[in-house]
Amino acid sequence: MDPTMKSLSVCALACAAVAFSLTACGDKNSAKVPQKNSLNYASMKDIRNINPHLYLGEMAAQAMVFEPLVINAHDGVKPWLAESWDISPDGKVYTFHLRKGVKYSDGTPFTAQSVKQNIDAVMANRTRHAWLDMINEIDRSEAPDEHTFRLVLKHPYFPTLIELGLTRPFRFISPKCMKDGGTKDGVSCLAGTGPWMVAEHKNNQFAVFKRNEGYWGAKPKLESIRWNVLPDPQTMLLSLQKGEIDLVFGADGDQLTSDAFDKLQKEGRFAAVVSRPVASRAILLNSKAPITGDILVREAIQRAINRQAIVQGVLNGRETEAETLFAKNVPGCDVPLEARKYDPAKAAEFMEKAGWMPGADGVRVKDGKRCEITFYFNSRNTQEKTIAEAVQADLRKIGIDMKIVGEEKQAFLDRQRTGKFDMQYSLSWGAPYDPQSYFSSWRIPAHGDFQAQIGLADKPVIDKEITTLMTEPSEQKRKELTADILKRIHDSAVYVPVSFSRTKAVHSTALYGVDFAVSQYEIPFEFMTFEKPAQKK
Amino acid sequence: MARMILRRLLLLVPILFGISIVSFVLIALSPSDPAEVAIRVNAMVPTPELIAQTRHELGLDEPMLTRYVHWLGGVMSGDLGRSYVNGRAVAAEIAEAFPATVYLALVTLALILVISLASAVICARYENRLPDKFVRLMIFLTSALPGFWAGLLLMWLFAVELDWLPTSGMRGPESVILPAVTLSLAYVSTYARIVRAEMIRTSHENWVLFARGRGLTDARLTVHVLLNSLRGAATALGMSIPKLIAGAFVVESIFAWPGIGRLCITAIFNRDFPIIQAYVLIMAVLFVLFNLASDVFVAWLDPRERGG
Repeated sequence: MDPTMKSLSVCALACAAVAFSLTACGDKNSAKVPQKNSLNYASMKDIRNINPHLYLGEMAAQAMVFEPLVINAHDGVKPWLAESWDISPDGKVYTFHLRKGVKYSDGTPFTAQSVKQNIDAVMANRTRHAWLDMINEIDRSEAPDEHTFRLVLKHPYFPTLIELGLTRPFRFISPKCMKDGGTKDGVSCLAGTGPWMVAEHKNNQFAVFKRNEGYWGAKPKLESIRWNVLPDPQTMLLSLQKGEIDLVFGADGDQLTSDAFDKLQKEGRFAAVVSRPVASRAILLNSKAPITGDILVREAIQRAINRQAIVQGVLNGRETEAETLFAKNVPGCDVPLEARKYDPAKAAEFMEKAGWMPGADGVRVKDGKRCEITFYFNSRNTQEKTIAEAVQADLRKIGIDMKIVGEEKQAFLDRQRTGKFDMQYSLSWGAPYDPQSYFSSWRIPAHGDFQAQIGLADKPVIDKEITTLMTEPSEQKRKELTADILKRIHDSAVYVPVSFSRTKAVHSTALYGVDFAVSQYEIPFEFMTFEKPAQKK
Repeated sequence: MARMILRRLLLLVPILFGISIVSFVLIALSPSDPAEVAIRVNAMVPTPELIAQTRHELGLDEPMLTRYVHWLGGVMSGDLGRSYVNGRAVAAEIAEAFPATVYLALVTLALILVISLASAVICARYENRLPDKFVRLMIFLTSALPGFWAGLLLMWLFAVELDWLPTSGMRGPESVILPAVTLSLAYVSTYARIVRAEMIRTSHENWVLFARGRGLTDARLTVHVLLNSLRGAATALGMSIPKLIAGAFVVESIFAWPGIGRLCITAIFNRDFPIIQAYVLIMAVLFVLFNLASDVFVAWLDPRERGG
């Protein structure tokens, strides 16, 4: 060999040896978890801090470890840590009879006293939870004996049981984990009563959940879940192909776009499943903005958008077409409302009624002003961009020039808060938050819903009705109020209903029992297994 | 030499001071309210009362100057503050992400040095002949690939198809290979070209001819030529090392590498000012120090530079 090349080779080898020895400094503790009884789940986000009484962690992870008194099932509220309950005739006192023999994963018994301590810890941080009207309605809590817990409200508050079953904040952590008797300044451990326990957590890398062997209910079939943080959706798909990941689970296309989902489903190498419709996808028309402030223009836009084409063409038929803001199966929302069908001719009539006449270039004009509006969206959401493009083409047909502006998420949210938009997306929170918590959020100025509604003459009435609704004891009156709120909102034409979104999951075909919880934010890992279920005869 | 180092180190104080003020003001000009952002990031509902309480908790209800003085006081005593979003100590957040980034940066640096110096020597030795053209073509092709694409291609080939390496994460020592190779691609071309050009220039100098005339072996001569051609590369490397440590958001995201790039970009998206502020400060220190180190290295290589 040429001497120069020889010395260079030696040099290169030495450097390569340095590089290799550096690779040996890696993390050796996190070797692959055996597949058989352990599930590898991929999420774009770390579980972070899953203190059940704060909002700093992933809800799906919080729900794995901490449990509520009652749960929201598809057919209503069911007993959980409370076996049964009584409600006083005036609707203000809820008495829960707690399940016996339940222990937190640190061995502490689950008693009424510990429930009270948890509720008190939540109440000590009242402002943080003020978005839930229930927080303001709790007068006091009592633990008359070891297995009886009593919650006393200021007024009868109808969503009490539903809100007690939410992922946060009314879930229970061992009092031994509390700091100075509370949780608002952090917790020293994460012992809940749930089917899973956090065994290891490496910030921004992974978390391992082990099965809680002392769990009071049906024990999970899997031994452990490894929650892997994969911020890039492409990497997630490649990891799935390689078999490093067994499950990807996502609400609203954040982890799985419709295209990726379709491709995986067509390939047939993975199982791809969707939940029943969970939340409402709509487009907000700002009632305070110069052009969309006119109800006739809003009525025109409602009829100009071909939502069927959006659902079939953009959403690949994965979601159900929505004619009203809420689906009929959302509690209290089976209200007769006249759907606005796709009708460009009628839309054009509304535009003319509003005084917008066809201009030379096809864009309508009124008092010398062109009919130009802007649709803002979060630029990271490619699906929303494609929907906006379909809307743009539809509106162009009736002479509206709609611009599409994708913005960085914060800029987009800032715009929402200040109300400086003509059109924006709106996604409801889904079951079990819809409609009551979503209604409640319409009263908050930082929300796009509030800003879009503020130009309505009956906005004060709507807000007042929402407030009344929350503490109305009579079910009949609540029905009437809900119907009236929905009617006013429907008549105002502020929301263009698009579809009812679904949660998607893609998983290895060796994994069984993948299902969806009521809330799109929870993942029922406890039913999943790699054991093939016995065929039913 | 010692005076130069001392002078440069002393200069660090006003530089840091200036940078901290500029970054503080720029951040404060952001139209977003960090308190509201923190609330939203944590999927809470930004009620006016909660925004007010959060602003108070984070000290955002105080005037900017007070906040700056407060922050500066903290930094002087080693306290970089707390994250607006998760409430954890900024120092702890950075300390957690830093080792992963330094580890990736060192492996990448070793790769850059091996590949670029070897390529440069081959190119210079076979100037304008087939090996030179081939290596230059390869370098050109690889450096033209955008990082995210190259990363995904490498991942697809070596992790999925060939099943040699894990796709992502810090799962074992081999996990660093794909992100380090991806990250090094962008740098290799720069260094190979700088060193190649410099080596060709140096090899035509009289002292090389003289050395060759004295019967110096080709190998020793190449080493001498190489050492005399490193000046430009060393200066550039002085800036590249802190750049590598500054983190590579794209590569870190694709390969789920828990480094400082991801930490900082997430902080920017979440308007988590204390983390951004600390990051800017640390990077300023690193850039100044590595720039100084490269000057010292150049001075060591070339005595004519030692005058300062």
